[in-house]
Amino acid sequence: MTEAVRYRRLAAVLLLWGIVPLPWLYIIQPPFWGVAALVGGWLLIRPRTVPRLSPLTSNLIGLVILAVVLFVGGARVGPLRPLGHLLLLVASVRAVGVRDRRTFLGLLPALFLVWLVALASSTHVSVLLYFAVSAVLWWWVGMEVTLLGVVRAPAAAGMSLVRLRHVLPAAAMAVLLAVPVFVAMPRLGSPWIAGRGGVQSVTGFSSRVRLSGVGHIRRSQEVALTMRALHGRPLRPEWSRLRATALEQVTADSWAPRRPTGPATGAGTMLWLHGERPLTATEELEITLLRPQRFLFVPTAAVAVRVPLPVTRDPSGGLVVDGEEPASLTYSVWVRSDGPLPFTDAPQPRATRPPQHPEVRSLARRIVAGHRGTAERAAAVESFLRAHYRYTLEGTHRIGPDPIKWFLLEGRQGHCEYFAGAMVVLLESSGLPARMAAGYSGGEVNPAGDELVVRQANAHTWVEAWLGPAAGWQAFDPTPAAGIPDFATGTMGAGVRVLWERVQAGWDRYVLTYGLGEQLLVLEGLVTTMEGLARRLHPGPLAAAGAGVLFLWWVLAALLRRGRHASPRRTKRRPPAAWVMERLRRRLARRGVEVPSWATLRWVAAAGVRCWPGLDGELADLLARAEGELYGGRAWRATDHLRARRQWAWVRRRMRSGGDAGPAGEMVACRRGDTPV
Amino acid sequence: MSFSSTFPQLRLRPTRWGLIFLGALLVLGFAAVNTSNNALMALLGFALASYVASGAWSRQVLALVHARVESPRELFAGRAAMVELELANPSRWLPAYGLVVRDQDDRPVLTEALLPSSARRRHGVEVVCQRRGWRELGPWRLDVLMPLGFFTKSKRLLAGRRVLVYPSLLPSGGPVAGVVAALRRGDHLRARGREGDVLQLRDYRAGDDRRQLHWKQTARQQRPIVVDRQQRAEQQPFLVLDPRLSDPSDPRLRERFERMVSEVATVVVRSLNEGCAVGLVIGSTVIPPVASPGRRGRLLRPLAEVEPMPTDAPPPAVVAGRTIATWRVEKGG
Repeated sequence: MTEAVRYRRLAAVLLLWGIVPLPWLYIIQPPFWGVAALVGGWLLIRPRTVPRLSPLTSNLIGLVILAVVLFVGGARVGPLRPLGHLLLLVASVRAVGVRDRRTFLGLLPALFLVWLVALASSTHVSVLLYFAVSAVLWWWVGMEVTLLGVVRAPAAAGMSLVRLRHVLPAAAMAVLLAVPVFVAMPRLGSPWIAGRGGVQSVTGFSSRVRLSGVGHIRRSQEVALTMRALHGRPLRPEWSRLRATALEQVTADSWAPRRPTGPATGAGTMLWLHGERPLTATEELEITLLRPQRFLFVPTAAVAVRVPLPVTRDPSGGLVVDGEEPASLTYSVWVRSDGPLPFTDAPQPRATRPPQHPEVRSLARRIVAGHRGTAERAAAVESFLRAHYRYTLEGTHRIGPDPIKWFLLEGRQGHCEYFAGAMVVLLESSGLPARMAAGYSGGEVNPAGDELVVRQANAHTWVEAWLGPAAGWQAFDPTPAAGIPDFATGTMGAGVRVLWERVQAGWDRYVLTYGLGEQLLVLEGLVTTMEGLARRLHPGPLAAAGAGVLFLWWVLAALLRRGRHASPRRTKRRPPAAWVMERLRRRLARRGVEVPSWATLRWVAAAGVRCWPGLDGELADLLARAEGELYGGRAWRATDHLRARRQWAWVRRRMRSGGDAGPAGEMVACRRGDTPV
Repeated sequence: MSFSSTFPQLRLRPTRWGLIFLGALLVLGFAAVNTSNNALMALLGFALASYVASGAWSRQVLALVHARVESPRELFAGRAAMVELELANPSRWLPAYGLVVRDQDDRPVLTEALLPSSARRRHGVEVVCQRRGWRELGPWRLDVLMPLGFFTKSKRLLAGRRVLVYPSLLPSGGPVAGVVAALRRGDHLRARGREGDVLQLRDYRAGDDRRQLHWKQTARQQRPIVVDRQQRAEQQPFLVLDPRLSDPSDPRLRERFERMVSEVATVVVRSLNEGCAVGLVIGSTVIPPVASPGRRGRLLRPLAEVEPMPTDAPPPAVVAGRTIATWRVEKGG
């Protein structure tokens, strides 16, 4: 196989591998990756045919490529599409012209960029496999190209010089080492380059809703809380609507709760949500938050709560943990069997309101036209949104400065936050006070029906509209039924689905959208683990001080050792090669050879060669070095120790296997030019 | 702490490709950190990890792989000789890719594409020395460029290995053939080993028969002393080389002197090959006759080391044997 053929095949493999994800992506259009596939296939099948292009032809091809890319366009999707088209065509044409090492190396950046476009445009979890295979491929290509540069003339016809069994562990090691780098590298997200960031791509409760993010949203299967009926009776579906608070601080694209105002209650105090009343006709439930954030979640039908921590109340009826949140929190809730009681806190003038737009106001007027009562108007808006808008978690491209306006007038599709936000804006536009309520809805109940598992996929927002002092804040849910997390019993199929969604959510959260928040979580987890470890070990101050001193001593010793290695002076340790000869002497004695007390190094080496003739070269080398160390004043360093240990291990293995001449002990003649030495 | 101070015997040089890779890493790192794009982050992590993994691999290979060099037993000026080079990889796991042995002029003398773990390979490397005398073989260097070629890591293989290059041998014919014929015709007795009267005690020289060691004197003087005996053979044949030159710095005279030394060496080699014993007189140094080709080093060594001397140096020693031929650089040709 000639050098040109080898390089052409490498180019073909890289080109074909680079375009593998493109048929599944919208970023590159089929004719372009089709051309690249044809070129790659042709190079793979007919690598010996090398067309010679004149400079005129090359220039003409360049012009044609530019014209085609400009004609097809695609800049409205983003700059990546025309750039990707250009890159693919350029790479394909240059791949055709590969005929030696120089042309291949010239092509390599284009091939790398093609691969990068494909990789960076893929968001499916299967790209993980693609990345892993790519890691092996790039290592293989890197080693092959480097080796071809070293060896020049490929030895074995048709055979790769690099063995896959050597590349695989190296690539795996590189991928493993890449994980901490990926986890720890800072994510700055500079606005002047990165644009708008902060996309929440997995479902989950957040006390601050932001609607400006673009991108696909995955259902997170992380368990948020569990709810258990203490008297063993089945849980009712309506109890699974768990409210945290209402979001009344509104800007163009974010919704946040108001700050708590009242004093904190004592730990374990009974909190009456709608005033103190007898607990007859109520059920006691126990809720356990697995990772408590600021807010407690209580069913909308709850009347009283007892929390083993100090708690404050915000103006919207939300319960906020006062102080630091614990690792997990269990509290009791009493719920009514005959429906929820509305909150009656009067609407307060707000410093911030959703922006008003004439088009939105006009739409609100059209929706509520003909409805007089406040409840009727709110219901009309609710049913309008449910009927005319589509629920989706799919990605969106451009939202604009006001996401609610975009949702109502342009996009007409979105998730529950868009629906709730839109309903609030429409109600406010028609003069009805409203607010967005956030919490969880539904969950997975066990077959006995007395325990509910609520996941982050059950996070939900809905609307509370002020219907007057008597009716208070009434809940409305404008999200279509398909988008409201349901109350379901766990089954096998649901388990598989949950597992797959968990994989996808993990991929999305910890790979695709892994960012500063996740980095802080990882750091927090590390700190928590270390604290737990410290608590488990119970180190006293003295023990901690001792450990500190030991650590410092170890660091100091390591530094000194490094310094000693660096100096050309002799280390205090025993001479390495002589140590190996001493081991050889002992080995001979164990073998039954009578080693006299006056045995010299040469005697030992000669006896060793008699016992294991295949080790003559190795022992001669050891002997020379040992004599140099003991009698020749030869200094030794740390690397000599390492070498001696390895050499002894190798010699011992050869001794065990009979000490033959070695697997590759042949004499290979090597000619060289007439060179004076 | 730098690489060279941590590993004083090793050398590290970035390759052009390694520098390009570093530059690309910087750009990639800047882009990844700025955009917080996780695909770029993963790529950056992989690139950095590959950098580390590649460096660790090549570093280990360089530390573990060792080479044993056997100098040729005889090396004549102008003639190729085989240096035996054995590369061994004692590592149990790590294969060694792309080993290159380079000579002191940085030219590759040997390339080993793949040396698997726990393997060794012997190679013969031809070397040619143009001039006689003591020459340095090396320093040679073992380069490891693999696996990804970011750095060339090297270690020295032959540090200060000196070899003695014998004078070049001339083609047969001409005056050499005449001298050899004269030697062949002579009716000389062979040397008879250790028989004969004691002539002198002297220091041991490389090539001396160890049976000639005078053990009592060796023990007394704490250095090897040999005993020279007067051969009983009469009319021992000697070749005489007068190293005196009227102007030792004159290149033309030196060239003729070299030619003369080569002629003597050629006569020595050819006569010994034909079974004729021959001795040598070089200035005041007398080397008794040698009959075995295996011991020709005793005669060739002084020939390799001889240097032109000024005219006021002592004349060649007078020996009791038969002088077959005398070589002297006459003034004017």
